[in-house]
Amino acid sequence: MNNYLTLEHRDDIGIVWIDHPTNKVNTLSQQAAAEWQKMLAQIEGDPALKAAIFISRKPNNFIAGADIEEFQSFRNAKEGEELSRFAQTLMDKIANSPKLCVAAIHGSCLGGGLELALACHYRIATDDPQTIFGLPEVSLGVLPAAGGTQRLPRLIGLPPALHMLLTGKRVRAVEAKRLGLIDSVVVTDGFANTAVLATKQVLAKRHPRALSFIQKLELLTPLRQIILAQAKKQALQKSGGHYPAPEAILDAVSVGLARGLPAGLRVEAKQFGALLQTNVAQNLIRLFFLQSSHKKSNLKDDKPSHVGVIGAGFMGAGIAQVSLQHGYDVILHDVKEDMLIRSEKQIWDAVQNQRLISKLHTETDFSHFGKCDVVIEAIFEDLKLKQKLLRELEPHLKDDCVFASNTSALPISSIAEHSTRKSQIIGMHYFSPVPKMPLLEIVRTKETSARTLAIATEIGFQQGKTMIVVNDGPGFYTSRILAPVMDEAIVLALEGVPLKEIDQTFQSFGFPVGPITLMDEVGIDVAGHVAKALTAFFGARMTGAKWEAMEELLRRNILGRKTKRGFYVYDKDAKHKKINTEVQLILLKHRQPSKTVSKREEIQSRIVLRMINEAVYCLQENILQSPEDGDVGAVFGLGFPPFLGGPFRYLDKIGAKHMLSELEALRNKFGERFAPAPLLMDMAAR
Amino acid sequence: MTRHSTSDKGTRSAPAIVGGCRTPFIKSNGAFATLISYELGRFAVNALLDKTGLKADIVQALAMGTVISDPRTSNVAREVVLSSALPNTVPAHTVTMACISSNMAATSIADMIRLRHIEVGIAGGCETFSDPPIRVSRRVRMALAKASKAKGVGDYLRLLRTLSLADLRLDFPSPTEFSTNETMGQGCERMAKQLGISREESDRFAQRSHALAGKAWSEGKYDIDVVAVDVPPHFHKVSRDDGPRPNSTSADLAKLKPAFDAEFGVVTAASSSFFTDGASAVLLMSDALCQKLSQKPLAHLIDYVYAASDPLHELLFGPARTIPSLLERNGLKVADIDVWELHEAFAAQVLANLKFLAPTIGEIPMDKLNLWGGSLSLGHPFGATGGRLLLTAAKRLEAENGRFAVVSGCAAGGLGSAILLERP
Repeated sequence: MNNYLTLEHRDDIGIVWIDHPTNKVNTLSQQAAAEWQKMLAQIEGDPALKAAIFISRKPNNFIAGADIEEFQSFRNAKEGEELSRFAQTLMDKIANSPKLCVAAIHGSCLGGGLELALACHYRIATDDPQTIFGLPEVSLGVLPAAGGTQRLPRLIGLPPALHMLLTGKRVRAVEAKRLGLIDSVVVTDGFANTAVLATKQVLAKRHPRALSFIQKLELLTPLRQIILAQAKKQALQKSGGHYPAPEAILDAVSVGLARGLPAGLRVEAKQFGALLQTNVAQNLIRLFFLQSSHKKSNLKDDKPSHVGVIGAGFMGAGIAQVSLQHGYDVILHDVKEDMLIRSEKQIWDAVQNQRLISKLHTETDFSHFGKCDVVIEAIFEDLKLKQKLLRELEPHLKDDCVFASNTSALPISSIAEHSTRKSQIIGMHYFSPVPKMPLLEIVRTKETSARTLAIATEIGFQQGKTMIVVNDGPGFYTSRILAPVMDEAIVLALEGVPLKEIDQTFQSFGFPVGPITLMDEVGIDVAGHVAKALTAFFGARMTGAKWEAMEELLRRNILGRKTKRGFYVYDKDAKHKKINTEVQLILLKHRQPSKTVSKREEIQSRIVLRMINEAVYCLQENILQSPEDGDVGAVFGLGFPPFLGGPFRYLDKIGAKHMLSELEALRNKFGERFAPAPLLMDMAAR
Repeated sequence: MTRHSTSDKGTRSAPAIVGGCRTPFIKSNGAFATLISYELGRFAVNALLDKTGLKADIVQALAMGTVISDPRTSNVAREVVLSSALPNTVPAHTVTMACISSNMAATSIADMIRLRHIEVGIAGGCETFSDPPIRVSRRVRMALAKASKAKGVGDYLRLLRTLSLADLRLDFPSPTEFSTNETMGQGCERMAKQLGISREESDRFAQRSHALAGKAWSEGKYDIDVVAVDVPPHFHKVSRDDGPRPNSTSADLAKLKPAFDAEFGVVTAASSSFFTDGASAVLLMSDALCQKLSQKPLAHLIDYVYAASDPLHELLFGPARTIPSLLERNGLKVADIDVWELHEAFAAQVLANLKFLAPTIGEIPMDKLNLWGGSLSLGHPFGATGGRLLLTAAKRLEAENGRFAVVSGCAAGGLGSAILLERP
């Protein structure tokens, strides 16, 4: 690696510029670590130098972390442990260097980057919002393995260190200064010059930061054990026992504080090697790479600048907001003036930036839509309505404008049916709330052109979305595999399984929310709409539950959170949400008794296996281009447990044969909705 | 030397600076504390008329720059007309463009002349920081507005109850950027860091400014153009700037603590321009009328450039953003300029601009820069400084037998101005 590290002399200070020659971000690989070793030796051997400043040439990162790709190549725990020992040696060398080592941090300082900074004797950082500190290893199922579990508690005290280690929480510079993680916060302007000035000041008068009395007390045995025990309890509660990394982190911290740094480092390295071999870590690391590979755009020129959004509901406003925030001029349309006003407020509350809001134009006609490069509609889910909109809108659009529908289930080709520009029509299925949810499902029809797809992908890329491209079909991928989940949940409810138990069972599998709560969130009417639309195509596979109960809910305006009454009652003041007794009576009235009462495990299987079976159908029918896309869509769009890696990864793990036999058993017991996908049978036969 | 890329910038049609005047520049809350800004403007304009010996009724426009506006005299230029020896038929407008307000006043008057709308105009500026418009808080103002409709004690009490103790805090005008919420000093620190300006360099430049101002005064450079003011109501005479401290040494300056960045700052109170009261005025005239009235122009205002840049990272880079294009489009090089007058907001700001410019246009020689002192020593009445710079540049051209002068300044909002003068 040429010029990864270059040394610049400024008086008696050496400035070490970090600049990965080919990557946009600096990472710590084994190769890089070797360069670091050489550089440190050079600095130590240079009598003219009193101090070294480590600073990045990249515009937005110091060192973004370890080179995770290397993690994947280890065949056994020993190899992982050795890598950790190698990195620890480098950090020790910095920490024990006779020369003053200063980390000058601008941009992301994460994982191994932060561990390197922790090993330095002084840390100065810019106040830029891009300057963030964090140890995200826990979210990859591993632990910081270059001394992070040891140096962080010693620097900032036990409770905040545990918080950062166990949650991967990122902090900005001002907060980092408050925590004692860094010594100085300065403006970005002339940062290297300031770092030199700071280094000179520290050379003139070393002032090692000391922990406060309380912080020292927390590191002492009795109090430390209480804090660690408490943290362990909380971590277990939060991980649901699915993630092994938090316990390993606590082990390393605990041993390090009880028996000293070298002992702690040994545990850290051993735990790292072991964690890397777990399914959880491998699934999380695979997802990390899948996510980056699903965040790409190839559009070189002809880049869109104006985005039109039609329908100023919660969703439309969300799409408008993320478009504004990522540099687009936005024209937002709704037939109702008051919807536009409501949206402007929603967007303003989120962005609080006059410069951005100046780029938002709202209108009740289409007079500015001629400027749009892309129009995304988010109006009511009704095929006729959407076709009518397209008919009215098309004369206002410029010839090469792309039209995207944010429908969650209607086939895009049906929406495009009467259009004269079918090649420019595509689906862009966002998830609510748009600014928070990472996934964008892009739906192409047989007629969608390559350019249209490239532009939709560019928009999603700029908006920071993780994208999967699927082929058109009812419910595409995500809605289609979610529909059976909701259907089965209602069947269970009609069988008399308590609503909370349904939710909890699903959550214990690892989903963030249960299906009953999810229906309340998306709206029972919307869920019903999707179910009906899909039933028309897939028949029995989507209709386990009787319609009558649902229809009665809709008649009584029990639509979920938006009407304050769904399966649960939504009361601002209530601490815990309560079951809606009115719904319980309706469920009782339409009861669908079952021959057997499902136990917890069976409930889980009934819901989850229907979902996975439908995903296999999607792959078989070429809705999905690859199982990887299926995993990305389910994890980032539907909250499929990341530690399981996604439905296809999970299927691989349990085995097609096993799943087939389970489905067959359920089919015998509960009917045709459990009929296995032919592709699954093929897989099982192989 | 090739020059005059566009014909209408030719000397023949360029407006002439015939004369100029200013009041002494006095630290705020000092000898001018009883005056409000239009009164200062009146002294400058009256003295200018007196000095040029021209009849007041030939003046066809007055433009005055000001920054901290008194709401009672929001068009302060018109109040100057109505209180001065000018006939009340002279139209007047006020220009506000932060610290380059009177630069804009001068170039506006120059344009009116160039476009033949007028033949004679006065441009200048006036500023006082001794009586800034201090406001009550927004909530108190809203309550006061409602109070005008209140009926009875009950209503008043209800209004009072809407206010908290914190609402009684007063709202002082301050040199803070509205859009970034940073002070000018913080902006200067950013620039100093970008260009690596050291504390020593900064202190040395501040000391230089004071020494040169002291020297200019003792050599009588300002005797003619700085007019003594008899300050009402007691009419005590104020005749000299009170800012210059020619005897202070670099060692004195080195003792001060940084004012805007305690840890790594270079800007101190001594290397910053200070709040000042004062006014300036210059008389501009068409070349044709100059000949008719046998007036000898000090200089012609040949061309000007305004520019703006990012108010957070490039707040005070005005000279760096304007001087290169001014030189380029007039076919001039640094070596062609005999007189440089740069506004000194902060010592580090001037040095940062010079350092920034060096690689593109070359080094501006210190022996041609601000030789009669600058805003650091003479003071900086925001709206009036541009008038002082133009006048000093014109007078220096004469004293130093030069041909071209560049007057340039930075201003809040990331604004910048550069004006080219040529001595006939």
